[in-house]
Amino acid sequence: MKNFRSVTFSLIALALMATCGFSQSKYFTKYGSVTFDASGAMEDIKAENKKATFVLDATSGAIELAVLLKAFTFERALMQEHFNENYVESDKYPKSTYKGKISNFSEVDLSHDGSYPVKISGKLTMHGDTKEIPAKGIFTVKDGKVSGTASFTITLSDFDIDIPAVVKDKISKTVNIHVALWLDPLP
Amino acid sequence: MKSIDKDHTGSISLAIDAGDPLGGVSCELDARHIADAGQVHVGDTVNVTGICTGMLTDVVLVRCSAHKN
Repeated sequence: MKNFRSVTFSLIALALMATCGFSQSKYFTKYGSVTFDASGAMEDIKAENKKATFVLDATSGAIELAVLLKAFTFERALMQEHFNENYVESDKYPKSTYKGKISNFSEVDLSHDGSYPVKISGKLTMHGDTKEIPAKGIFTVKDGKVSGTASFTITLSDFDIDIPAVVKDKISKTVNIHVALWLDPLP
Repeated sequence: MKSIDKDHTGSISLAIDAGDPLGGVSCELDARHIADAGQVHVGDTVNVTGICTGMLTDVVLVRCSAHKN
């Protein structure tokens, strides 16, 4: 009888491990892409950062994204210099972070291929200011590989970034930001 | 050098071992120097020139060129 109980317990433990013990709890990348578009009526102002770090906690839906502002590259070097020195002051504020949570993460199944629209609420910290910024995104699982995209818009004045009057027609007061991520399970 | 990583946008980064399993130095090759990735191999000691942008989990360099020491 004792042996029977022991075998039964072992089988239940194995079944539990098979169903929930091996699910991946965190996903990560160091090579996320963050692009922004601040084009005004007279000039294209776009930049890309391919070194964004991102972590997803798949047990809670918590997310964290971090970028170094100096890692944004522009087509024109002078534009990049102005971005770093005059607008985001990257020597003083080198990093920007977005910390938040996917509110409908219960609808996302990262163990099955599919496309999962998500709603994100979180706080963006940049240029010494932190603001609540909602975002919409999509997680995609294809052949077991997880990727995601998200977009949101910020207003420069919310982050105390002033646009000099002489260039106010060239730079948009709002900036569209797009994030693309290809995630690996965190070992 | 610890690894040569190609991301989904086509960018190539060299991961340099800094003796810390949680962090190192990540060097994104400049588009004009993508061919440098073919000249260096994992395990090589390499010279990298680039712009240091700061540190997240790794120290991050962009617009890099690299050659074997």
